[in-house]
Order: sequence, then C-alpha cells, then structure tokens
Amino acid sequence: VTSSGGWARIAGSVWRRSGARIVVLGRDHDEPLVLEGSGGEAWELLDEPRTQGELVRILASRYGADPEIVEHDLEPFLLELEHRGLVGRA
Amino acid sequence: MKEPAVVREIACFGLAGHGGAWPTEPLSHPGWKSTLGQVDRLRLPGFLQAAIEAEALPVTEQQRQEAADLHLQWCSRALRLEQRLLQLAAILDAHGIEVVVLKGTAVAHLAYPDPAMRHFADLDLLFRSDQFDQALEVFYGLGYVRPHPEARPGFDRRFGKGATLQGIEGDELDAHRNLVLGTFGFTIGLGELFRSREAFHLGGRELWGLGPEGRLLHACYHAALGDPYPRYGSVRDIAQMLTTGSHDPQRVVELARAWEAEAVLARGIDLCRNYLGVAVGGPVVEAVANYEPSRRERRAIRAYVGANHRFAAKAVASLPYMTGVRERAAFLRAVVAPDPGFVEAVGAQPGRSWITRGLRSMAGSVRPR
Repeated sequence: VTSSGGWARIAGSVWRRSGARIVVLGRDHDEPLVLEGSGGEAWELLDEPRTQGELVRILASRYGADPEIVEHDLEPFLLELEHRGLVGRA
Repeated sequence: MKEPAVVREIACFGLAGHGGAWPTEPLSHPGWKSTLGQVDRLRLPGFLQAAIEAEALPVTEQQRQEAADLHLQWCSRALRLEQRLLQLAAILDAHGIEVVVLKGTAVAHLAYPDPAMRHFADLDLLFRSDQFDQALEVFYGLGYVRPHPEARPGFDRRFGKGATLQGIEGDELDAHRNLVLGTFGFTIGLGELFRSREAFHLGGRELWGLGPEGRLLHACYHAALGDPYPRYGSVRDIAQMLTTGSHDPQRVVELARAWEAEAVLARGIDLCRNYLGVAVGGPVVEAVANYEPSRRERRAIRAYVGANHRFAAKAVASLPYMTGVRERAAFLRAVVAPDPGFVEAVGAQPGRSWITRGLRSMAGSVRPR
C-alpha cells in the first residue's frame, strides 16, 4: 500500500455508532469489529473513497500528530479492515 | 404498569413534546440493575444510550459503561441480522421473489434518525401471496426449518399471516404474507403494501420497507393487536412515526378506512397516550379521536388482547370479516381439523392443544384466564 493508494468501504459492510465507538461487520463475516477513537474516525472518513495520504493528512491534522506516526498506525489498521471484508482498494 | 416509570421515560426519550420526568440522581445499584435488565428485555438500549449521552438520565461512570456495553451488544446483534438480510435479499432477488422488509430493520432505518436507537431481534419479511410458498422453499433450501407446519395445505397462502422459521445458526425469520392473522388481516389491501414502498439503503444496496402510511398502520396493528401489554418499544414506534414521520395524514386515514382498521389506529394512538404517556397529536390523531369501534371490531380486538387471546378466539372473530361460504368453510376446516402434523407439532407443547382450544372457543366455553 502506498500513500497514493485509494481505499473504500466494501458493499455489504454494515455498521452502527454506539456512543464513542463504532461497530462494523463485513460481508461474510460473523464477528463485528469495534472501532474506537481515531479508528472510528477513519471509518467515518471512508464514507467516500479516499487515498491513504488523504486519511493520514486529515487524521494527523485532527490529532495534531506526526503524519509519519499516523501512517505507521493507519496501514495495519486498513489491512485489518480489508481482511475483515470491510474496505477494499478503490 | 409492570415496568418502573424510569423505563417508560427511557422508551419515550427524544420524542417531540415529551419532557420526561427523570430522576435527579443516579439510580441505586438494585434500581439500576433492575432497570438495565428491563431495558435489555424490552430492547430499549438505544434509547437508554441516547438518554445518557444527552445527560437526561444521571448515571455513575460504572452505569454509563454498562449501558454502553449493552448498547454495543445489541448493535452487534443488529449487524449480524442485517448481514443475514443482505444475503437473503440477494438470494431472493436471484429467484425473482419480491420482498418488503417489515418491522425492526426497516423501522430502524426509516423511522428513526439513527438506526442505533431502535433494536430488533429477528427479521421480518413480507412476500406477495403468490410467491409466499416459493419464498419458503428458498428458505428451506438454506437450512431454515419451520417448527409449526401450516394448519392445512394452502392455509398460509390463503388465510395465514405467515410462518416463523428458525435458521441453523439459531436466527429467527418471520416470513409474512399479511400483517395480521385473521380478522383485520382479511381487509388489508395486500397489493397496496407493495405499491407504496419506501427504499432504504443497507450495505450499499437498496432494500424496500413499507411506505410511511403503511408503516404507521403496521405499527398500530402490531402494538394494538400483538399483545395485551405491548412492549414499550412497539408503542414508541407509533409515537415516533406520528411525531416525526413523513406520512400523508389524509392517506393514513383513507387507508385505515379502506382496510377497516380505524379501530386499530385508534387503539394504537390510545396506547401512545395512556400506556406510554405521550401526548401525541396532529391530524391523524384528530381524525380518529372520537372513533367508536363497532361490536364486530370490539370483538375482534378482544380476540387479540382480551383475556382469551388464543388462536381459536381469533379464528372465531375472523368469520365476520370473511366473504363467502366456501371461504369460511375452508377456514373453519383448518381451524377445527388441521393436518395431523400440525396437531402433533403444536400439541406436543405442554398446555397447547390446538383442537381442544379450537373447539372450546367455538363453543364459547373458554373462561377468561
């Protein structure tokens, strides 16, 4: 995955907001995944396809964090969502 | 009323014009545990969560966490059901079977600002009468079983409300061909339910629920006829739609008249006011404010929510709603002399003797429980 690669939610994934958490379930999966904090925000940002670079910029700005650190954390997060059938490469 | 006042307040949270009478301090430990248990049983965690987030209900940090965890559990359950719904919708599409999503799922997405407020525990799907048997065959092919077979071959398609199915993973699916069993169900314009649909989007695809007018009337049928003491959430649905729904009031009243459901609509509104304690108003409420149910309607409603609301009572009360001697004869035959498999399935359950109930009720000899 590169910073220019795009990500989008996969059709068939469903989700709910539960207080400060977001619970999501991918197509053909049984166990919902609970997202908190920046993970939930990343999911909400993916209501439209975005590049990884865009996600990094927005989250780094919101949290006042170093973009390199955000990118380091974001990449495995997106791969986990992909593994669970929640997002794919746009 | 069985539940404490705070549970009712939770069920009403966020309704326009309902101020609420909330405690000023967090509930005691026993009071909280009891309330949380009832919120769970009545499927109200969405309203509890919303009331806590809005700081209407004061809670301790532990109570806040317990409410959040309960809400998360119900959200997870809803998502599993919605995934199942998406799978079933795709399969039904492939078979050319038209489906309208009823009750929980559709109401959560179409009647509430956030579907996380309105929880549900099963799926309810409506089919055209001429596709009902085909839909059941599809479900059987997917491993669903029907604990109670139909009373006689063809009974469901001709007279029934539908069938409850159980999936191999323990999920429950109610396949409907009508909104009500017997009585008022015979006068519902079933074709209208498919003509006046409203779309909602789930998992990137379009699904259909009842239109806003049909949805409001269905909520009334469900709450007014479903149980003598309906769940607060069922009555909340009516209040929610009356106060925020996109229905055309005139159309609601016209449909209620056409379906001979004015008494049901009036009872639904009465439940909002006198059971849930919400002062609903507006043109639909005014239209049936002074409605006086006929003797037939009173008898029909008693068959659902009176002391004897077993199936046989509904069957007897259904006869005046049916046209034609042959239709009544076929209906009675199924009620009094159902197939052996049906008797075996129903009669195998303690205290549930179909034939005895049927005959006693026919003779009018069943005393109130």
